[in-house]
Amino acid sequence: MIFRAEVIITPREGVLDTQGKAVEKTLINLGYTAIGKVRVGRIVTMELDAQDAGAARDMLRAMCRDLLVNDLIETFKISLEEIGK
Amino acid sequence: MRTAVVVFPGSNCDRDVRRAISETLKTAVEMTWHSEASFATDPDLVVLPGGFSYGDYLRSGAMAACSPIMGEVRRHADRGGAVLGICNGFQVLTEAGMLPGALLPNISLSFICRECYVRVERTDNMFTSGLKTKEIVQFPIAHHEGLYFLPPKELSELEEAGQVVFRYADPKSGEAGEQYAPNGALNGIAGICSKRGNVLGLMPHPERATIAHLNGGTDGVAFWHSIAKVFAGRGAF
Repeated sequence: MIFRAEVIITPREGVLDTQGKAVEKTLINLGYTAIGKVRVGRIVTMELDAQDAGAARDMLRAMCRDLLVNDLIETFKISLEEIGK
Repeated sequence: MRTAVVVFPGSNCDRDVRRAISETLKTAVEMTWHSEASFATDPDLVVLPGGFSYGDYLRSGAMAACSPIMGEVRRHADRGGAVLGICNGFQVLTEAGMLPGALLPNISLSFICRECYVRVERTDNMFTSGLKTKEIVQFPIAHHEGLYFLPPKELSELEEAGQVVFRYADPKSGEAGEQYAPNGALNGIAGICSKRGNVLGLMPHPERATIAHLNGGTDGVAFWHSIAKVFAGRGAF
């Protein structure tokens, strides 16, 4: 099965996110005063071929461990969409 | 002392390191491309230089940490060999898990390139035994991701284990700490070593402090001699 995957990576709670803080401050300056706890991360998207969704998730988790995510400072979420057989 | 400098795609301080070592210590230096599986010679010191390996894509040092040569760098360190990571090289060592912590974007979100002072905190390692404890040295800095970070518990453990080797300092008072860190580094940490003291990572550039007329000072000379002293019996290539 072919999947389109999104790995959403964000700074861990408690890790100083200077970019998030700067964006938050600018948004507040623009008048969006109802906001808080802005964090800036990144999204990695890819297509992958796996037997099923479980196998695709396992593969993505391994990629996160090996390269995509620094576990000390970041957390991640995976979302999957089946796009073909 | 035999030295090998690893060159990653995007390294830009590799030749500065070679020049600093070869001119200061009058010794040849091997340059090793990152895709090699091993070193051509049998180095005492392996240097991971500064620069922007892989354009700093994903996270600074993340992809360089996966380079083929890093397997050999790790084996060298496991055997007790000396590994020095400067600036981007320090980021590579943390990403490779060879040193604890991570280097986050500077608190100002600016790239900082300026002269800088650090205090020598420890001399019981393979790199600073020729310097004096509490001595202040001037090494320039040039980085965007230099804010040393570790969660509170691990940070205390690092301090207790005496792994902090360099701390940003005020040259006049001799005081060191976070308030003197231009990048916001926790506890003012500029450089740390492994528990065994044979792997050192630091953000400042000692290789840029060996030529008097370049305004970076010459404190780097004593640093390179300090490392060489440990391997004095080995000779050059």
